[in-house]
Amino acid sequence: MKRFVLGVLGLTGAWLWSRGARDPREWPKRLPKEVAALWDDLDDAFAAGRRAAARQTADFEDDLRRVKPGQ
Amino acid sequence: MDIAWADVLRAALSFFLIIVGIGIAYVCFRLGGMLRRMSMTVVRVTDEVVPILSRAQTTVDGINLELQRVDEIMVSAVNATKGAEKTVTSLSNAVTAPVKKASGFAAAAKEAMATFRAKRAEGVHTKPTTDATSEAATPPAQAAAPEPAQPKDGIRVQEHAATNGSVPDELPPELRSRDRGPSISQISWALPKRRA
Repeated sequence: MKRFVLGVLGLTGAWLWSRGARDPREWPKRLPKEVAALWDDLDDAFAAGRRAAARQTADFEDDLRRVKPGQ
Repeated sequence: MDIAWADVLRAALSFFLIIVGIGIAYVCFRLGGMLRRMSMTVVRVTDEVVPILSRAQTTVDGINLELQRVDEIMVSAVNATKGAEKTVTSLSNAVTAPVKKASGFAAAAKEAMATFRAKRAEGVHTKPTTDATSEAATPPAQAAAPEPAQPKDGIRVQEHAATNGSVPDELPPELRSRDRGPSISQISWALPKRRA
């Protein structure tokens, strides 16, 4: 458990470091902003994925209809 | 000498009748031989043709039997073809739905990943970094207006890079990397794809 917590803390610190927060004192302020930005990006990505899936499904059905016109 | 013409006539008629009788007898004798040979020939032909006809009948019966079997085989083949067609149709319908879902899921994952990476690459150089650096590097009175500092810093970095050919080392790394922006591959990945 201790290793797990330390690992999570280490990964979080490394992530914030990679995002430009090089001073650990600013990590408590940066973490909510980074998480919010991450959720926003994930929401956008999911929305884009849903649109792409709908488009791909429609194209697939068009292809099937073109191959088998009776259906 | 007294000739009796009546006797001569009778004698001639008798001779003629005798000749005619001989001729008729000869013809009847030849006709009898011919009829005998003909009857023998008919018997021989009959003896030869009847087995041939019976064998031909057997052959025709066998051919009819084979034709019935072929007909049954054709019916079975038609039924098998119909069954195979139904199976293929069912299989196609059963396979199409998961493949459609998998295709949609793959496209969604690809597009979502591209969008996420593009957003992340874009987000590295924008707001949280500048907020943190401005808060850390400037006093609180100046940290209230961080937004106008972005274009000035970017322009300053661009001018320095244009004149010296490199980014100044004294700038913090997040400020230097802000000027870079997304790469060509990231932009092309994030753009909507056209199907061929």
